[in-house]
Amino acid sequence: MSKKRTDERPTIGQVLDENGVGRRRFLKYCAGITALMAMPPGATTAFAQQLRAAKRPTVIYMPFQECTGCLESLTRSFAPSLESLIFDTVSLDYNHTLQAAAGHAAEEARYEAMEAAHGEYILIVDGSIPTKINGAYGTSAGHTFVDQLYEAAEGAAAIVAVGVCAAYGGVGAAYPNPTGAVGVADLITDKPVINVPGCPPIPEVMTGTLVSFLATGVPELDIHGRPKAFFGNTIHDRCYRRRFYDRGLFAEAFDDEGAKNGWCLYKLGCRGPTTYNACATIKWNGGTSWPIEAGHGCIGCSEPNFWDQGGFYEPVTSKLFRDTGQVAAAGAAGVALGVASAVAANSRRKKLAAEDQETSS
Amino acid sequence: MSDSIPVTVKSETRTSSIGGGVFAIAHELLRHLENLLETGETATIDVKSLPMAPDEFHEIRKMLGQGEIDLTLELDGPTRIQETAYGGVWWIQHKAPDGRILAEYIEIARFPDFLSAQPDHITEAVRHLRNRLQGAA
Amino acid sequence: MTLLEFSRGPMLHFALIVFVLGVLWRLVAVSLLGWRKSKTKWRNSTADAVKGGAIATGNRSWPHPEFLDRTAFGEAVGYGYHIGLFAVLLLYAPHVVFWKNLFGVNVPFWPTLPSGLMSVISIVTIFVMFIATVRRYMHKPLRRISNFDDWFTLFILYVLMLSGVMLVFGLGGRYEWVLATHIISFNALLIWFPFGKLMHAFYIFPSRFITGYKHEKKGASS
Repeated sequence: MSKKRTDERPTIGQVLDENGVGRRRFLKYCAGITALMAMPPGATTAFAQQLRAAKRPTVIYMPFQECTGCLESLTRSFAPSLESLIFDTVSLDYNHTLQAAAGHAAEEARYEAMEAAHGEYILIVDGSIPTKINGAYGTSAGHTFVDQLYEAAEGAAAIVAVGVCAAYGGVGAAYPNPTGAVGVADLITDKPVINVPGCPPIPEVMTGTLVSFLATGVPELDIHGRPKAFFGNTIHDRCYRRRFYDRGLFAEAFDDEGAKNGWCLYKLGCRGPTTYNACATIKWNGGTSWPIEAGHGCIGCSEPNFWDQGGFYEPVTSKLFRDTGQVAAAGAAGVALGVASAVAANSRRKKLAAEDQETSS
Repeated sequence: MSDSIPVTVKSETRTSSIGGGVFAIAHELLRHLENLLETGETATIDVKSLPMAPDEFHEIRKMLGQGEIDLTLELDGPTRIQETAYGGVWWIQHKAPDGRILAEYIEIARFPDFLSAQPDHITEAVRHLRNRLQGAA
Repeated sequence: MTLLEFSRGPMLHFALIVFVLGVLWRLVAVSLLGWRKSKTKWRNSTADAVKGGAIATGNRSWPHPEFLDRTAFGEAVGYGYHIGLFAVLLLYAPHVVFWKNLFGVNVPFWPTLPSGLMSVISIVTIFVMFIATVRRYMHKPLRRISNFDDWFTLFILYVLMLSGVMLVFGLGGRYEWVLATHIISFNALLIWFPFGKLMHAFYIFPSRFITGYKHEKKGASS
């Protein structure tokens, strides 16, 4: 556990040298990162130099109202690799799931790390933050998640909201949102918040975002606070089945000829057109495959409120209202108004005809 | 002298035809090569980012063929640097220990940047050697 | 709530309510207004009149040969636009799934056209509509009698059709905003429908039928 003051923190380059990581080994690692972010391969050398010159950051990980899926995804890619050297992952061990210590000892470890690196650490938040009944729906060590977030955010250089729950509220915030779950950016407005949504996010996207933050600071973000390098294109625009969409060849069921031929899954509820993520290019499990390649439509898991956009097997334009007789009532009202109008018109006509007769007779 | 070089260039590429998506990449390569000749400017083409059908990928590899250099380094997984049959065109592939491809690109240069010594490494070497010589003196 | 969620949710619901209420109001009122007292003798039976009405519906869908020269342009534009419109609405796969979801029906067999052909049809349809718009403006009498109803209906249709084509070709920026525009303009069309000339969709065939029916009853040719 590091008790160094912030200005004594080593650079990443120094840590790598101390641990005997050769320059070319590190350059290869950077080539992987720049490829992930669709930067030109020629940019690798400059990226590597920036990263080597960056101070090795403390990373503090705060889990809130979450299912631990994002942590599972994140730790798959954190070990074994250079990330464990790049990030002072002492604080990453501060996690109820990962650490051996518990109780006050664990809390102490976290407070010490936060103090030692005050103003410099990266705060990774996982899970939504419940806000109803003063945040009492989520507590740990006697404090609400809301308070813990504000406290941890205060000394952070930047906050990375990992997973759609931390970014936008996720499943906790799905209708009817009984706990008042919100995302980090809904509470923290005075620090840069980088959203890395997904359910879970692709591991390489999470680590790529963290590493690029080290090298070049807060990346360019889209309107939902997501790094454009990973969330700049829709699934639809990068899908290898797009040629079938363009030709109008759709699978109608999950086991029909179209599905077996790998046709477009639009009719089976694919949300590719309105979902921004890197699944089509970076894929999952180290590039093995991804949902559409496996034959299931995109569920849009990196979008805000994705749980409330209609059924996963309904089209991306499906209706989002429930009619409980209003249209039928409108129909009945229309008929009634029609009858009333006709009766009124007819009686007026009779009256006019009678007046005419009177005047002419 | 050249008779004693025990390396055979195995390449039938210049006779194989170019078609489809390979065409576009071949054109880009030609442009970069001409630029390299004229101005010495290097370039890279990220092969992993190109939306290609698997057979197109093999077509490109076949078209480019194999030159004299085929180098594999062990750096946290294998890194393979191959000179293609076209002088100045290098194929570089970085793999992780589990075999998945981290990065794969074509580099148009006299010499792949990955193999050259990094400037700060040289700076350190100068410092180190200087200290050593001063210590010995 | 995002714009897209709003367009597919409360706005669509409201639009359907206004549409159903308005259309039924007008149709019921018109049908109950009654018929003018006939001052001639009915010469033919009701059965004959019904047949006459059916024939007239077909006949009046095409001009008499004497008028063909003068009306050919209008007929071509009208038919061209409407055929294209129905093809796009009913034979394009993404629209088919939208209707199935909206009405909660699962029609087992609903054929669709290849999307490439659909793109061509939709662009031709917009072009035909543009020709009609230009004519409406350039033809002085037509321009004089054109009112807010005509221009506003055209405006909604342009937004609807152009946003649709933009979606297919990936134009106009973020897909979800163009899609929201497309759905909002459809909602606007539904809301505006009962108030203007779009009601011709419901009136046109009954109106021709009744004209033929009445003529046949009187023994007049139609």
